[in-house]
Amino acid sequence: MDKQVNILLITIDTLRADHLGCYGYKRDTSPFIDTLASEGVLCERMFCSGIPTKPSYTTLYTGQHSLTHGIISQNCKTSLARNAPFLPQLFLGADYLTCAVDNLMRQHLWFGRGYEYYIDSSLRHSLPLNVRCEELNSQALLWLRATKNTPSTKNTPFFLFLHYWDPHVPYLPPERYRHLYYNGDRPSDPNKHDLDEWWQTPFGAIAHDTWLRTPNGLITDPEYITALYDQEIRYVDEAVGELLATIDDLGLTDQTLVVVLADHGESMTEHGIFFEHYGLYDTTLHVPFIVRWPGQLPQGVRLPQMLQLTDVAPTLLEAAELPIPNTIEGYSFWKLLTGEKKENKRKAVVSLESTYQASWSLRTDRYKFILYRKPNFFGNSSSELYDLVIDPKEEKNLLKERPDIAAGMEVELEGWIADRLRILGKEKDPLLVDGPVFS
Amino acid sequence: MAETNIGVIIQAYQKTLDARDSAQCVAFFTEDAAIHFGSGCYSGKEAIEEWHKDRFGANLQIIDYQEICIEGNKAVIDIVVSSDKLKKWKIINLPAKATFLFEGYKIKEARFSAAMSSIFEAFFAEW
Repeated sequence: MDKQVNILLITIDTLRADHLGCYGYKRDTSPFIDTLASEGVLCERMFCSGIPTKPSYTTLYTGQHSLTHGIISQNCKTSLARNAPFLPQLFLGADYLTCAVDNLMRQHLWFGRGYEYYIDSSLRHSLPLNVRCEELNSQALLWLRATKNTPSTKNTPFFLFLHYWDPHVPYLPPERYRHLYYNGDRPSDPNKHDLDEWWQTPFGAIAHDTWLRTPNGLITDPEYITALYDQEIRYVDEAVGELLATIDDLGLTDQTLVVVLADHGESMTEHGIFFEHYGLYDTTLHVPFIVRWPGQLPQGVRLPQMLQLTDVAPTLLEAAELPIPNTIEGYSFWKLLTGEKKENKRKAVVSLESTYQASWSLRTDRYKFILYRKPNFFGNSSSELYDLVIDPKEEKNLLKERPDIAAGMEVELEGWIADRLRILGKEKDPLLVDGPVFS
Repeated sequence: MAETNIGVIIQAYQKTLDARDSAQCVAFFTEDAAIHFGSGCYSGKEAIEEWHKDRFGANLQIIDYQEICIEGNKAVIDIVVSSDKLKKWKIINLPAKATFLFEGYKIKEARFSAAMSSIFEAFFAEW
């Protein structure tokens, strides 16, 4: 490489992969991201190793599983270890300019590690997650232009991280998107009761009392809410387009590796989970991963290999030809992206959640096994087994039909957890100790 | 309307809230009034009465009122509330801001928004 590569890491919170056109969605939610995918490589099977946001971003930054870095939930009292590997720190150490346009640091200082510039556009909002993509863009573009127009920094490579929040609840896209995608005629029909069950949950109760209240009444049609979610995606997609156009205008396209991904997905109504991100189903675990670097990566390639978010940090380091610390657990898939290799090291994905539920899942190419440490949100503690090939929506629990497979996967999962705990010098599964955050 | 009168009306509204009288509470609002609650909107008397009933049903209590700040036809009060719904979130007390816009002696618009740090914690619990 003649010149060090810039890294533009774009994360879109709560974006499930299958609501993007390039992942097969029926609606035109993502023309700019689809174009990006056509110019680079799309990973078809990228999964979270821990949900929700805080564990997932910590994994993205550290390349470690939640069990290792210890951040297993939103309310987790554990702090990230001082010596944990951290992506922006590693780029800073390689003399990159590092900048985050984000607000996670307002929760925990570790999210600011390694950033010389930390721009928080959400300070003007009562809720940090109400910050809009265009506000983030205005700050990010200001920083980019200033950096590239300043003689002392214009030739310095950058690591720029943007964290868009728009698809996270509350789904409140700008008015100009509100006409999209909804085909019904009465979103506030008082005789519709599809959401009554949701109103009884804490998040549903908040939605019922606040963001789903319109001058025309309470929104009762889940299709309307799904359309709002899709409108948010369309909105953020245009922000991605604007960002990439600026990269182009600045003449940076060829020396910039652009990644678009998400921390977790979102259930619309599947599995009885309404507009939230808990449950270790693919609605929440399957996230997009799209990468472009003209001249270095092939165009329009789709990778079918199974990957997880622990693998992102080492991959970006390898792309930039930086050393990968041995404390990073993920596997770099850089050579899969370049086409130099076809075989992936990862044969399974282990995920955990401490949300309303305390559960683990083990995913192989064919099956997913879910193990609950405490009764789940619906009061059940029975495990679940799905055949992902014939039942990709995970609707038919095969636990009773295939107890042999379930038992085998349970042994494998418990063995993986026990091995990891032993290596880490931890005595107990934190999900057994802490249980779900909400109970 | 004199600022002192706005203060008196708000105090009367507070007492009616404390008395859990939704019909009387609605009487403080204009016919076309709206309550903005978080990012939701309750428009018209019927919706405003429903909003009050919901709050009373959730055992909303205003446990602290700060001084009322009045400027023209606008009044702002910092309050601290509690409710059974908030307790579901493990939030015992929630600092919030209430803003009222008056038209004559009636409330034309009311806005209730949580103070940033507290709702921040609430929402972060599920990110």
